[in-house]
Amino acid sequence: MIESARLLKPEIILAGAALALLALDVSVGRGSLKRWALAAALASLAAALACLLRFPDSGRAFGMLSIDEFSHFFKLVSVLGAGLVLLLAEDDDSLMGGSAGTFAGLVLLSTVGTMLLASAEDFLILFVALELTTIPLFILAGFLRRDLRSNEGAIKFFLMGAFSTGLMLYGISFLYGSAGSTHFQALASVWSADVPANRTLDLVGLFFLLAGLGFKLTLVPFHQWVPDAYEGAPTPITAFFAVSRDAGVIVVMLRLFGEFVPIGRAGLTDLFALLSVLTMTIGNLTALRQESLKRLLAYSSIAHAGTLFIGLVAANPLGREGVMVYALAYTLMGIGAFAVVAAVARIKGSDSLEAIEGLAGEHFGLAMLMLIFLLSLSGIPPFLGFLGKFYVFAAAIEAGLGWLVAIGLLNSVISVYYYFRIVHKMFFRDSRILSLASPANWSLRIAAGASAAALLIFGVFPHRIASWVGQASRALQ
Amino acid sequence: MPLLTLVTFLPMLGALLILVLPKEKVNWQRTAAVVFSGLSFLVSLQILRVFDPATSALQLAEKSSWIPSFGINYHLGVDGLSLPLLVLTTLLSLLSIIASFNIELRVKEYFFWFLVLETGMLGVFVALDFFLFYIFWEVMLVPMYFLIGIWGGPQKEYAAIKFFLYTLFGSIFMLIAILALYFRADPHTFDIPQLISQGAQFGGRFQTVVFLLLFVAFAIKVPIFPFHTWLPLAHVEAPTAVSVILAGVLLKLGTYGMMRVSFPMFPSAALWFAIPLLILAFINIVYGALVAMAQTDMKKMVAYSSINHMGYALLGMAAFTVTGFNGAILQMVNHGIITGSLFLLVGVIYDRAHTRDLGAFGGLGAKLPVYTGIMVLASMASLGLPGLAGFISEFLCFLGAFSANPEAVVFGNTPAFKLFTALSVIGILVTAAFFLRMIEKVFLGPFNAKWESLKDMSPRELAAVVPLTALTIWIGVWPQWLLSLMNSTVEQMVAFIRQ
Repeated sequence: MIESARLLKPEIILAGAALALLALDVSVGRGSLKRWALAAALASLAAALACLLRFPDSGRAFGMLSIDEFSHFFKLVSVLGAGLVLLLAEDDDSLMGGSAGTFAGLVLLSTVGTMLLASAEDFLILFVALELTTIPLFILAGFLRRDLRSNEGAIKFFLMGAFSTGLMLYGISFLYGSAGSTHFQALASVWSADVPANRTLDLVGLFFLLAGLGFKLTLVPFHQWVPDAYEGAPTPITAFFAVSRDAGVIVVMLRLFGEFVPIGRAGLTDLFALLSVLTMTIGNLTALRQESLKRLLAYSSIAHAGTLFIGLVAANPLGREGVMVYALAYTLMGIGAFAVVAAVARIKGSDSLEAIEGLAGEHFGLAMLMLIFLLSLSGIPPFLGFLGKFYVFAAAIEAGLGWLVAIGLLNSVISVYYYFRIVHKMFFRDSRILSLASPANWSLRIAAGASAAALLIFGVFPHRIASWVGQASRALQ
Repeated sequence: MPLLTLVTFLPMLGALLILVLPKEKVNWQRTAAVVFSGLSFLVSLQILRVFDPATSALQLAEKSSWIPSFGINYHLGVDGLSLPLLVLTTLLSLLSIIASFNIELRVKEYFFWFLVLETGMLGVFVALDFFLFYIFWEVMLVPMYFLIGIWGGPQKEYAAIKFFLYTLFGSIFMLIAILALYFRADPHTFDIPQLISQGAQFGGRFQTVVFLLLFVAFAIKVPIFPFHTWLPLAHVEAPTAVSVILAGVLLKLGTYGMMRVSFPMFPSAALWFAIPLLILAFINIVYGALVAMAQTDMKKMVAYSSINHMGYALLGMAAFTVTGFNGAILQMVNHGIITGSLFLLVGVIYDRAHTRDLGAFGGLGAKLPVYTGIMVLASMASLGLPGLAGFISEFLCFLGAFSANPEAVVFGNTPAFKLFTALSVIGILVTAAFFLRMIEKVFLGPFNAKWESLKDMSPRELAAVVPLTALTIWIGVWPQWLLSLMNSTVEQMVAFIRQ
């Protein structure tokens, strides 16, 4: 018990801080709370980060959570993402004005959920962690209580989310009925048994489970909630949406399908490849027509989920490493791009594509930052986003899925078209909208600048990252 | 001293410096651009000095581990194939930067992108690791997108994105090929010399497939018919200096890639592909020339003549003989020099008259004697007048192709190489026709009084063009100094492919 708690120190720190922040918000008067809420949340994240970096423990907690280097990596990415999101939100009055404690607390709680997901190897903890990730997001999506779009997004998100959770639970009940245990290990013995048993029950269970996870991972056809929720939410929360699901759900899938239920043996490779192709293609094709920056990035994030999924389809160690690199890269470039959108929205009072016109002329630095994020999202070297794509494509080639790589790369070219629509507006056009405010505040600049620098530095000198993920992926069999 | 790293990254250093210079100080930015591309040029001359032309080995090699988990090395080196193109690149970049001093719009960004572009191009020529090669290959695209899209002509924005997507599409094929090679090689490697030495163990089918994948990627760059449709738009819409780089350097990356990677790595596929390549070369030559003939815009005419001229290089390559390869490399260099100066010269007249229409001029010969002299010389070189650079390389390409593999036959019993080489001569005739027509329409005949106030070339413009003119004459008179640089590499390469 004590040992298990010790292993979960980072999560406990964050959960404690989150609860304190939530309590603070109702007990203390509004006034000067704002600055302290942010500082406290950042401090707890820093403490969790220090725990993860300084004491990389490994072991099993409560028999349901595997704490290993693999989970460590994703926990670090989650903590990093949450920190960047908080920095982004510092200046946003809708988030930090009235109920800063609630906002910061919810972000932390959701992060704890993502971190637990990274370690989950039991369906019970999977369910709890997934709900812990998602329920704060429901509230965050509707954080602008008086904004219709925010409400619409939140309701859609909530209904779809509740439905998919139901599906997933239903699927888990099948799996439990067949295996007799909620631990992933029980599934492994089902799938490894040499006797050609009747596996209909298990397959049905897996399909329902997949539907639930697919909703969280925004795989097509479970993605319809994404654009509205993304567009309606305040931009920092949108950024949080985009990154939290990558680092969370995909990890569980890697663990489940990498370690316990080999997708090749379960005959799921084709289905998974199809999901990946659909997700990439539909995400990209829809993104082509968007006129709102947030919607455009929302659809592009769907496409990225599809590309990320290739690493899972490949089902080899390189694929796992690819997912890790890609998740880290996406956290940095996704948040970075949304940070610039937030800054533009602040300057121009709009997040339409038109608002970013002439950014290079007015705020050259901001435009260059956005250029770095967009290049990285497009997968153009030498940025980290390219390395992520390189890894997953290499993994797929190694697995003999050349056709999937071809489709993935074609999708990259399509995505370049709409990413460069933004570049085109920023650099080739003059601004037609009057500026309302001065450019972004310090914390947003730090967040965006640091992300861009990290994308470039890790992109040019990737050997540290490469050896790190190489080692971490070995934690799984 | 790591000369190759130095030559490659000096421009990048300059680009970063320009980024931190204050926006208003345009002359500082211009100076920084000239200084850093000039330094890079000087280093390339030093490389030329220490280069030993007697050996075919890769020289000045630099190798250090970069991404050990994939066995990726930072591996650079030059040989007789890459060195002439390396020096050509540093020279053309320096001259183009000098020619760009009249850019007034967003000067800082212009020179930033220009120097980034130079690093990308130089990197491709010195990279010996396929991963590194790919990185540099991609790094070039973004600056080119901006250079065409911001400082180009009326259709610049469309031209920029078309160029960008088209070449990116080509890169897909390259990346798949690179990854396939990596996993097929034993031990897994991206190292180009190692892959070449392993080339023999790649099976026939695999070899053909990967060869064709790479061929598409490189063919788009050359461009080889039918992948040429991006070229006219990009070349015409780009600002003068960028057209020089596009025609002078970027097109060579395609042919360079084939000779550096495809041919030695997949010798049997390459030899199997000789006849298709020969036919494509013939189409490039004749088609490019005929379309150039139909143009009334001088810049478009020069742009299409590039398709024709790259066809000569392909003709030499299809021969797979020492003469043909020597001719092909020399043709790449010569085309860079001659077409580079033609684009500069068209830019000179466009800056003054704001038109490039052939019919708008007349009798300029008496009014602009210096300009006329240089322009006529460059045109003559381009149409292959003996005594000037173009003639030597075209002659070698034709000679190489004509005497190549007599056993290859088409249409029953006709020797393929003799037939298509002979047919390609049509291209020379047409080229001569359209250049002479241009000279006649622009410089001869009655003087068009509209251009009374036209001034002859300024010292800065002369500084940009005259070095190229001098080289045109020098190589035409004494090609041996260039041929001797590449000869031993070429001999070794041909022997390796044919073994």
